[in-house]
Amino acid sequence: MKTADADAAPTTDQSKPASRTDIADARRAPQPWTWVTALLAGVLLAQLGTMMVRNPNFEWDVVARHLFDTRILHGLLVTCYLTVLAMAIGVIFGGVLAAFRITANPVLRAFAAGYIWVFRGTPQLVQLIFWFNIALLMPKIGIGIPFGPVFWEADANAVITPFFAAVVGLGLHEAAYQAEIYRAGLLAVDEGQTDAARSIGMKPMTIFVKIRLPQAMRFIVPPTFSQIIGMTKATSLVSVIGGAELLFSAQEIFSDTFQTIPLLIVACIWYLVLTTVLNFFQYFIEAYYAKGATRAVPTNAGTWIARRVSRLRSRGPERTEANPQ
Amino acid sequence: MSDLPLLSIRDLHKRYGTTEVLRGISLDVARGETVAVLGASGSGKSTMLRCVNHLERPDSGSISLGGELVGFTTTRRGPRMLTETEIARQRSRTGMVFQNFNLFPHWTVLRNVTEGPVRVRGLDRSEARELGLRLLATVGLEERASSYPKHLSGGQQQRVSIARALAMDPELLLFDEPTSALDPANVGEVTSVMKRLADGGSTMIVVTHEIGFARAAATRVVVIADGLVVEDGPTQQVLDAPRSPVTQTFLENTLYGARTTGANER
Ligand SMILES: Nc1ncnc2c1ncn2[C@@H]1O[C@H](COP(=O)(O)OP(=O)(O)OP(=O)(O)O)[C@@H](O)[C@H]1O
Ligand SMILES: [Mg+2]
Repeated sequence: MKTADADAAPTTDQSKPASRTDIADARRAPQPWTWVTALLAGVLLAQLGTMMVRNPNFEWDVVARHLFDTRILHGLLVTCYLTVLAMAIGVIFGGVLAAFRITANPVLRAFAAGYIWVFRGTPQLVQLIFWFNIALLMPKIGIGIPFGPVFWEADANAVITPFFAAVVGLGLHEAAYQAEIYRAGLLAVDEGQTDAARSIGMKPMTIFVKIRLPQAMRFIVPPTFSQIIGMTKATSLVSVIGGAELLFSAQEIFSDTFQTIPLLIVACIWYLVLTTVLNFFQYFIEAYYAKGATRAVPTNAGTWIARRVSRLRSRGPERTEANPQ
Repeated sequence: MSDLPLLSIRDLHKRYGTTEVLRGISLDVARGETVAVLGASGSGKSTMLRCVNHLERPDSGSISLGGELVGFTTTRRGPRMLTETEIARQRSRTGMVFQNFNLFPHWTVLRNVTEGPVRVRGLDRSEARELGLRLLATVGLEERASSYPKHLSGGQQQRVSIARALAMDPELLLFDEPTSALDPANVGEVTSVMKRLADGGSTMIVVTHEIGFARAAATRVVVIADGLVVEDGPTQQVLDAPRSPVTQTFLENTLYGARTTGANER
């Protein structure tokens, strides 16, 4: 510490007038606290590492054996499907709800508000179980004219598989959240933008699609990625209604072998892989919508890789505001 | 002035909640006129301007542009409000320049100018591009065509927004304090573009605190106080021999207040 402080003290070199000093040769100011925290972190990591290696209950050999187990990989695939389909419903139907909320039509506005109230106000898990058991409420499901003839009808128990209930349940719940994300994003766009667009005679739909939505995307993309990551993990709830996703597959194995901890670690590793891949894509999408804006994308494992990839691709300095393309 | 005025505002009223902002404004603007609108902060200048292109809906009175009612239509059962889509077509006949520029930050300078002609006037991309570059040249910014607005100075941004308004080939240009957000050093580059437009015969309504600009470019000066027109006459007469005591106080405050404090308060 002492030496670092002495080093930090500015040297007043009288022989060289200040105006002649070339700052290109400047050293960085010493940062002693970085070294102190690095040391502390090193010690803690070493301890954690030793514990993980020494403690036999981790059963790393079992982890390694099951990481690419076909049942686990099948569960991983189901998790991916569930995430993609439920998010697709959430993103699209959420967009419809958000559009309803800002239309001039009071009926649509009320519908959207009521929907969001119910679906955001009750637990995801309860909704999942509810959809899975919808047959108790409506034994038959059909398509037809309200109070009129029915064109197609089926037994609810046959149609509502765990997978179907999971996609519908997670998707409809997600739509309520997405609608709010869109709304917040649209609110974040300066009203002057709408004024300007209206002043040149743009129609409401054009203003929404070309002016407000693209600018709102900057505020919509980060929370939406949080939601996708949340959804990846929320699919594990589907194990409760017997959907054969990642956690369910791990449970199936450890209920036979009682190797609970190693199989949960296997599941966690795959969840981490999925979320890291998502962070990786988030980096590029955020960079795309940051056009014309001055901002930075935060760092985590996924964005760290993405940043290096994009630097390799452009073979130049990191993409900055000055050269957005 | 024998022929019909381009813009005719009749007994315009507008209230926000309980405060009456416009209390019966009447104003005619003929083709080719440049009208400077002066008035204290909060007197209703912006509100009046925003009623002209129906960014705000007035409560009573009427505005007509080239003989056509703005924002409403008359039917056999009396006046009816137009839909936003119908109003959009009317708005394309006027251009507006805002205090805060309001350029579209996600588009390049050129696209800011060309998108209106493409989407509203139905020009094809290459025609619009040609028009855009020509207009950017007239405001002295053709070499910044591919920049994003954020990288331009305030004065440059405001010149782009003038080009954006001109691209719609408007019959009437509305300026709401176009230089109030600018550094004093950048005011001149914007007012000189506006002066050229005025000299070129454009019809303009300019809300401004720049008395110097009003004197140089306006054919007429209108003074608004508390939602009413208190003075309306030829530039020289209003600025040098104002009749209304409100105008006299306003001119004194603006001329000397602005000089001593070094800033135009909003
Ligand atoms: N959307 C609104 N809601 C409520 N009050 C408003 C709204 N817009 C304007 N006002 C009020 O109406 C009055 C007139 O506003 P306006 O913006 O027309 O004044 P102005 O003459 O343009 O003033 P300035 O020189 O400050 O721009 C002000 O008192 C303002 O607070
Ligand atoms: Mg104003």
